[in-house]
Amino acid sequence: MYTENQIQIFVIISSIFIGLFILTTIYLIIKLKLNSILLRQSEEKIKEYSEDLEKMVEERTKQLSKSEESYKQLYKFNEGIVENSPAGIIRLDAKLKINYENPEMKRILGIPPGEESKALGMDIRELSSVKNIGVSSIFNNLMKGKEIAIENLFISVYGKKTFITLKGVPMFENNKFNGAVLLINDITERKQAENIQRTLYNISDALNKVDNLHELFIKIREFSGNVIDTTNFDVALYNEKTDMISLPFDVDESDDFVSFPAGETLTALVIKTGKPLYANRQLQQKLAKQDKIEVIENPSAIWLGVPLKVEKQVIGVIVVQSYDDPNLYTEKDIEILTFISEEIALAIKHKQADEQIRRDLKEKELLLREIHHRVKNNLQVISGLLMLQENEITTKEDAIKGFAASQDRILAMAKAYELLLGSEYMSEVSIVKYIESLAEQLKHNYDIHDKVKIRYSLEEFAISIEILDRLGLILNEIITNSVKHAFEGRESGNIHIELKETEKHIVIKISDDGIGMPEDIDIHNPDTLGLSLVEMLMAQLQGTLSLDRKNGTSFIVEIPKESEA
Amino acid sequence: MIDFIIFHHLGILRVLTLAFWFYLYKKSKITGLNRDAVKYFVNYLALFTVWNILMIVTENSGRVYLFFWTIISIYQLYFVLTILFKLAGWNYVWLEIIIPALPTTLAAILSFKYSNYQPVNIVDFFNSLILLTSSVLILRYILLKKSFVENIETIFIFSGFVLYFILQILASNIMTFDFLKYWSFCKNATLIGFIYWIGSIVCIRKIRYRYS
Repeated sequence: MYTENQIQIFVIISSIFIGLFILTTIYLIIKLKLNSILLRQSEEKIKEYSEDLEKMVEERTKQLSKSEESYKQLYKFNEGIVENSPAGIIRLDAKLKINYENPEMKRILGIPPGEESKALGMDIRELSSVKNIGVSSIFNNLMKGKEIAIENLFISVYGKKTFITLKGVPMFENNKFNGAVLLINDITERKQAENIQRTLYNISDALNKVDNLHELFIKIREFSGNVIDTTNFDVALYNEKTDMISLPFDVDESDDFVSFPAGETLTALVIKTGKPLYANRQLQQKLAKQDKIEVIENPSAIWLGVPLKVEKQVIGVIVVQSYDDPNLYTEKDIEILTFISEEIALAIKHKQADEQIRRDLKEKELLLREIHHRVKNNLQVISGLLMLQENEITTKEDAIKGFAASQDRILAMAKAYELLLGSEYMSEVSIVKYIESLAEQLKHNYDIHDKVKIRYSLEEFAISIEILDRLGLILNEIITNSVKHAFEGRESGNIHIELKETEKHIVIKISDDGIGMPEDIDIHNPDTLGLSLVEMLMAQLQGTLSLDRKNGTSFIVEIPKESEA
Repeated sequence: MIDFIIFHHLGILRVLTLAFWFYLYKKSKITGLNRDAVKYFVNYLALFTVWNILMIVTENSGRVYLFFWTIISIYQLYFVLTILFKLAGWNYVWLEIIIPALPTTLAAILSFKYSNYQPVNIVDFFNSLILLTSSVLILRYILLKKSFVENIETIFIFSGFVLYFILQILASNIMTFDFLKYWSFCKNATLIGFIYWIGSIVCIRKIRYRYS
């Protein structure tokens, strides 16, 4: 049998196993319990997570929905900006191929509405219009990440000429070139305005430098060619008196007129209305049907005329036209031509004023020379008169009378020059004023205001100073004669001075109702100084002097208008 | 050697259990009531160890035995009831510990006076019933209302107590008829309890590692 120790060892080992068994059992139960708890907790957590996830998904869905809406709005906004941008926009892909053009760009390129651009999908560097202006290589800078800027005249594949400024901005995605955006501005109008400005400046410059009007027109045509086609370029001036249109400058492929009657022409229509006319063939036909213009043999395909106005008066028309290209000009060109017309009108006005000044200056030069000549002649006449007077002087009284008579004669001559000073033209004098002034002067000199009355029947006309200074001396002698001698022994008397102009002659009649001239005096062979002087001056004026002795004395002086005096 | 082990195997296991649980108390990040439970359990083992040592030193002195039996019995009641009251949320009154401590003290005095261990054994039996019931209730509260993993140390302590007290009660009943004859059975019930508590350390670590 077993010893007590063996039994105890057995019991201890059994107890250990029992303890371990119970422990293992409890452990397994706890583990099982824990697993189930953990499972439940996991399930709860999963449920919580799934609920959270659902909430998150819901929130994210809402956010996404909002974001999508925002994105849509932003997209529409951007699309609106791009579509309505005043600048042309082109988008290039990574290979510099065009994948988008906005409407403004289509307009710049001249693409007809509703038509797709031919350039879409093409490498921008390969476009003939880009190659032609030699800027293809510049676009390579975009691929290197550099911005580009170009300003040039661009001719699209549709043939539209446009001055543009181009700015290219590269785009990157993950530091890799992804394409570029090109912003293009149409600066044609600005360039055109600059061209017009430059042209007008050149024309103004030519206006100051060129003397000859024809040469000026050549220059104007040359300068205007920068902004408008001047292959056929006419400057037509209208003469209102003759109703003729002259062409001081005419470069025309079809005709070579110098002048033509205004009649019913397009030029005349512009002059008549004073407004610019843009006449294509249809309008010309319509105007012809309305009998506003006459049908001509070789009508223009397009005719553009703008009036030349000087101080609101139409003096002519500037015309450009084409006989074969109906699209050579647009209605916008009227504006350009109007600018040019203003300069041309100004040039014509300046030149006309210049020519007038030159004419006036020449006249003044001649006049000055003439005055010198006249002064010399008059001094010679005065010298002659004094010499003649000298022969008459024998006594002291004769000397006094002689001086008085000479003074009258010199005053008579001076009177003409006095009037000449007040006259509008320095070579012509009013004869009426002269005769009245002379007669009144003599009346005053001889103090016969109360005794003699002078009546005038005078026709007004102008007379040259050359005739007048001699005629003045003649009248001075005749009127002096009447005043001094006709009314001797009488208390009163009348003098009647008549003046009239016939076709070829000036006729002056000086009558008095005095005692009459003695019968022995022959006016053609006088022995008095006064009448001798008259005879001599009449001879100079190639005139005739006749005497009527009925009812006093009447002297009739008749001198030709074109006297060589 | 074998004789020494056979004779002192309970003391050795008690020291081992104390060492393991003290290590657990110091190193583990356990908190709250769970930490209190471990602390009280370590103190309980420490008191037992001191009792064992003194029993060896005093060569099984009856007075030492009765003194430490009284101390440990009251401490057991204090330990288990405190945990139970705190877990259940009941108002904690010292008198409630004092009341069950009175029979223990009286039994010790009676046993000392008449040199008879019968009163001690009888009170021990009833104390075991109280402690078993309290341990079951503690486990019930933890399993139903508290976090399983967080209180795993308490669970193993009190499941060990349940096992221990069940075996103690069984042994005490048997001992009632013939105490001396079946003394070794009672000793083995304690042995099973220690084996269980030592093994618990491994289970606790595994569970902590797995489920924390």
